[in-house]
Order: sequence, then C-alpha cells, then structure tokens
Amino acid sequence: MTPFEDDLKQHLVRREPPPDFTAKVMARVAASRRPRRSLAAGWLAIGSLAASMVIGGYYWREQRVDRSRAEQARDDIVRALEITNAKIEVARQAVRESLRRN
Amino acid sequence: MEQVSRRMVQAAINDESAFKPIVDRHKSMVYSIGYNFFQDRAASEDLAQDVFFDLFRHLWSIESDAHLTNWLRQAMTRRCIDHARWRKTHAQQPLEEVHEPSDHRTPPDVLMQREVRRKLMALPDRKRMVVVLRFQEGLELDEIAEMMDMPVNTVKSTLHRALAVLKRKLAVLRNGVNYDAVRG
Repeated sequence: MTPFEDDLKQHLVRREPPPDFTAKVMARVAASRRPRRSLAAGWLAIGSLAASMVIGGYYWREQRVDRSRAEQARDDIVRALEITNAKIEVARQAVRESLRRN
Repeated sequence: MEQVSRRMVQAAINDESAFKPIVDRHKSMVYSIGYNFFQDRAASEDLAQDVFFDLFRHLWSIESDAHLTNWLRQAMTRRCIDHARWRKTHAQQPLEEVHEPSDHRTPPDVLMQREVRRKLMALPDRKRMVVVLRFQEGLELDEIAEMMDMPVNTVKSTLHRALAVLKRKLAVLRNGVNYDAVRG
C-alpha cells in the first residue's frame, strides 16, 4: 500500500453510530412484530356488519314472502266468500220464487 | 472479537431480543459505509436502520457469520447507491451545507480530513463506493465486484481512476507531503 492509500485508510475508519441506534432498530423490530390490534378489530367490525346485512336481508326477504302469501290467502278467502254469497243469493231468490207460485 | 454465531441468528428468528447483539456487533460497519459514502450522519443512520430492519425480516436466509457480514455490506452498499441516485433526482444539498458530525472523535488533522472528505464527495457514486469498500472495509477487488455486481476488471480500473483523481487533487497534504515525491 502506498503512503497515499495508507492515509486514505486512516481517513475512512469505521465510526460509531449515535448511542440510541440499537434501541431505535429494536423498537422498529418490536413494532413490526406487535399484532395489529386496530387492524384486526377493523376487519372484525367489517365482518360483523357484512354478516348482519346478509342475515337481516334474508329475514327481510322471508318476511316479505310470508306477507305476500298472507295477502294472497286473504284475497282468496274474500273471493270465496263473495262467490258463496252470490250463490246463496241465487238460492234465496229461487226459494222466494217458488213460494210465490205456490 | 465475538462472533455472531448461527445459533444467535436462529435465536433472533424466534426472539427479537436476541437480535440486539447482532445489531451491536455490526452497526459500526453498516453505519460507516453510509457515513463515509455520504458524509451525512442522519442519512447514514436512516439507511443503516433500514438495513438492519431488512436483515431481521431475512434472518431465515442467513447461513453463516461470513454470509451475515457479506449480506449487511451488500445491503448497505446497494441502499447507498440507490439513495444517491434518488438524491440526484431530488433537491440536492450542497456540500458546503453538510453539517459536521458533533459526536465523533476529533480527527488528527481537521483541515486535511475536510479536504479528503470534499474530494471524496466529488467522486461519482460508484467510484466513491469502491474507495469506501476498499479502504474502510479492506475488501479485495473480487469481493467489491461481488458486492457491487460489477466485473473485477471494472472494479480495478474504477479504483485506479478514483485514486488517480484523489491523488491529483490532494497532491500536497498534511505537512506538505507530496505523495508522488514519497513514492519516488
């Protein structure tokens, strides 16, 4: 090695980083290993909301179908009663007519 | 000097507190590559921290003590080159504004130290890194070639040109020593 290279070597010595260097690295490492609670809680909340929406939607649909069926049944009964009523009226008129002839 | 054994690396994978001796053992090497390359304490510290954090995530791939040292040197070298490239595309701080480190030992000759630093900083990035790896880390040309992903002959010529430039610019140094005259 030449004197110039020797001098260069003396100027390019290793230096110590600031005293808190290791602590900073370790803090960063520890932070990376810590479970991300807020993120997990967020995902849990989103999951719960989605599940609630799916279940709520299912029950809402079921209720709507039941209500529709009930309304259909009520209309059928009303129609049946109207038919029965009309037939009874016809029978009553026939009875009334035969009584008048006799 | 205490060696960082494979067992320590294995322990650090499972227990982060076991990572501390590894950082303590290698921090001056990693930090100094950055410091001697940039002459910037804050940037060197940030880059060195990134390198150790990266090491922690890649501990599983470390095979031996030598591999660990090599991995750290290479990671820091590449980060420095990348960061220097990034600096060039962003606002560049003039060398005159680079602050002197406050907590380092007083160099034997402040003026000469400053001159060497200025001339070194004037070198292109790759030339400067070759000089740092050669004289700070004492690496052989083939090791530098591997570290910087360059052919050995390119490293050799790069180093030769870098030294020639530095020698020319620092022709007369402390106590008026003329290196060419000393070499005879």
